[in-house]
Amino acid sequence: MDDLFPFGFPAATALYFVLYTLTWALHFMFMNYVLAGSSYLVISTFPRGAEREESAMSAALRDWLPFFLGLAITAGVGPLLFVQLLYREDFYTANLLLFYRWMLKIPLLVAGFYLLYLLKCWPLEKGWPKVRFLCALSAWICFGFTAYSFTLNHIVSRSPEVWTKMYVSGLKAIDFSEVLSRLAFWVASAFPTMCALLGWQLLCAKKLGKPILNRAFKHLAVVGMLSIIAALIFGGMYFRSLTEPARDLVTGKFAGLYFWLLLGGWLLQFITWVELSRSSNPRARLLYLQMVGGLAMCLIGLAVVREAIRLSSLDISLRYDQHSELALIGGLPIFLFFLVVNAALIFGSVRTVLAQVKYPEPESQDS
Amino acid sequence: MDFPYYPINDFGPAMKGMVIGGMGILHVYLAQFAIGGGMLLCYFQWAAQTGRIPLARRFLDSYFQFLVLLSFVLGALTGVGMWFVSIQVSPRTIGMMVDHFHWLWAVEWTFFFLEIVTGYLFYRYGKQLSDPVRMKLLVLYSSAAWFSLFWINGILAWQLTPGEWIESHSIWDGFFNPSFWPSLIFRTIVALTIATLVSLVVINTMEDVPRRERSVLIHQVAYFLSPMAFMPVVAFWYFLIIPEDSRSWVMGGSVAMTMFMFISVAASLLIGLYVFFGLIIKRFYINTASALMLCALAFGATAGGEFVREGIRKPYSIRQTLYSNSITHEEIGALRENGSVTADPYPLRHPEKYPNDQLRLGAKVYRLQCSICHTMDAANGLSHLTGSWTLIQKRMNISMLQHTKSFMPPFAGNAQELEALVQMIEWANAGQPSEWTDSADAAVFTQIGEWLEEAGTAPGSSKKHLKRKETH
Repeated sequence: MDDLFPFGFPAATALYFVLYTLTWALHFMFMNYVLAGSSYLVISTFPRGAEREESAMSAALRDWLPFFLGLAITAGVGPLLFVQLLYREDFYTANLLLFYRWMLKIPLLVAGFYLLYLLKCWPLEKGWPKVRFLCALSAWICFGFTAYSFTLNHIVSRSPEVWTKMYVSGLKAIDFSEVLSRLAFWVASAFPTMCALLGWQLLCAKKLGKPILNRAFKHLAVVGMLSIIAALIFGGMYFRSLTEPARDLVTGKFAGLYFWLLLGGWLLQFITWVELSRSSNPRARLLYLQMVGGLAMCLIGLAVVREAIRLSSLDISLRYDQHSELALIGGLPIFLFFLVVNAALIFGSVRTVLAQVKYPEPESQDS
Repeated sequence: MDFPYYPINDFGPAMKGMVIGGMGILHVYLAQFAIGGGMLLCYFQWAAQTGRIPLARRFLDSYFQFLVLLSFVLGALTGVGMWFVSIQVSPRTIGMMVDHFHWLWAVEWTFFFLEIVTGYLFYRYGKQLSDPVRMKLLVLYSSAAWFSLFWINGILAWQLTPGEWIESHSIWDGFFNPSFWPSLIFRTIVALTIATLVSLVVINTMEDVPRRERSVLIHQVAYFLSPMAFMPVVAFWYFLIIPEDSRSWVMGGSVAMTMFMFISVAASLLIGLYVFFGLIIKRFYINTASALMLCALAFGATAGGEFVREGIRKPYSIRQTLYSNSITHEEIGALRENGSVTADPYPLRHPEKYPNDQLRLGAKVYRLQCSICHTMDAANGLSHLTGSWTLIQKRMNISMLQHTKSFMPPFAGNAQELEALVQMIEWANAGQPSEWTDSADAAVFTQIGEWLEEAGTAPGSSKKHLKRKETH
């Protein structure tokens, strides 16, 4: 761990790590949108007496959350594959030790998915504020539990010293202060990503002719700035709760650059939100910079910092030979080929469709 | 030998196979519905844009909504669920599958993305798009869905018929294994069948459509069930290719397998007869209730077929490589020498409920070697299966397990462990009394050792079993 990630690893391990962190960052982007978006919907649907007009942010989230959840789940298959290759027994053992707490998220995600669709249905779109709030709250609980179970899984997978104890005594063997501080950080860090993606969506909708007021962008800018401050505070608390070796690895040669990339990404986003909150007319370039720059920096930074924390308590060198053997099994060229072809087809399809779409959209099929 | 030990969970009265089977059947049904649905929709888009079927566009939009709500949600999540359940049941099996086919799994992942993005674009913007763009999206969507079947089919078929992979360990020998093509063709026909049957339900739920027009749609859709005529041929091809002992389980060697096979065939036959005589020859109208009944029959056929496909792999989870209880051929010798649970780091969860150390050892052996397919006294319970055996029969039959029942793996422990397991079964059959005497007779261990030696470590086979009977 004396070289910058991933250069100190043998070629096969480095390849799997690069693919793992990239696919994880992609999954994390969509997952953040769902987690933070559903949290935001709980607040925005809270019944407050007289009915108020729904904000553009809330409407966009309600509209897009099911699709982003679908993307998050689909994107999650990639890192799920590579984590097994990289950590194998550690990952499997954590799954098994958590057993029903880990499996419960499947029915909960199904429930959360349908609740999001329910929020798009016409009776809840216009009326029944209490039912709407309950739906949003229930969906958030489903996604919150999923985040909790992933946090637990990560912590258990890198704590082999508690495995046998945990097998007998369950969660009592776990240090819950670490679980809570990690979970709080991940939930807080989901908001800046959601704001960045949502800003981009609102801008696209405006370009396509949807009436979006400037105050919607200003509101988003405030939420964006506050969420970055919250992420920094909870990030600081989580960093303090880490062990000395973990902190050294995160800030040292191995992951230091990525740590600063993460902070730089948030700073870039913060500056953009400040400028946006002052601007009377949101400019596409600002959001574009934020999107491709700040967000990409944050996601890649977070992905590597997360692995650095895990690697501080596991000896990955024990798996180098295994990784080398795996890399000799054929199939990489065909993966790269279809990755490029299918990415091009996705990109082409989105472009073709957007070229034909004009607002107002026809009545939604969910309605 | 570096044998990997995992913490093993107790699924209560449910056998682990029931949990993975239940999830798997639901997932396969929904996934095949999505795959067939894509093909069906391409046809209806073509019919709509060429003006051949006036109601085609309306049907298409109604059907797609159904597809999204069922397949995009439940289909996708049961797929992820399958992965997690597989880890719960046998991390070694899924680990080996991931090891050998990770790049192909990654390819499948890129198709998932294409499927979900094109599907959602159609779902959200379909009504605003021109016909050529709608068609392009549907073709991409259905191709992506079918290719996801293509990739996973090779991996699943490999588990039963690894073919030349056993020698070469080449990814392509494993992927294009002997049962790859019949399995792929069969599943494609099934996908088209399920999607068509669901479409009969959807047609009945379309509002403000006169019965006469619905009838036209129904009879148009019904032609998509005609590939069912090839099912018997493809199934026959599949059965010719699978290993002989696997075939023998279905042909009466295992009553459960034969029965599930019969359910699958009978349900498919009933659907086929109704389609041929009712929908194609007599041109009957089909209402919602009958359409739902046909969908239920198709679910029964899928359930039976999947049960058989999983069951005929016994005693393996990956043929000639890994036994159902996650022990490889090569490891059995060493485990017999050193004991299978000697190095197991995981203690028992409730050791106090066993009256002595021998029973505790037996419980650990049961947990490692048996609990993946059996419970103690519930589904597929050891107590029921061995209830009529005498003590000596238990010792001998378990020692020679692969010959007692050739779909069982060889016992993979030493004589002390086998006796501990036998004592635990005896203790459970006796109602789990609070006191139990150790069985420490050296002559018993010697006899068990001899039986283990005679049984060998090679897998059993129905043919060898017959030969043994003849020699005796």
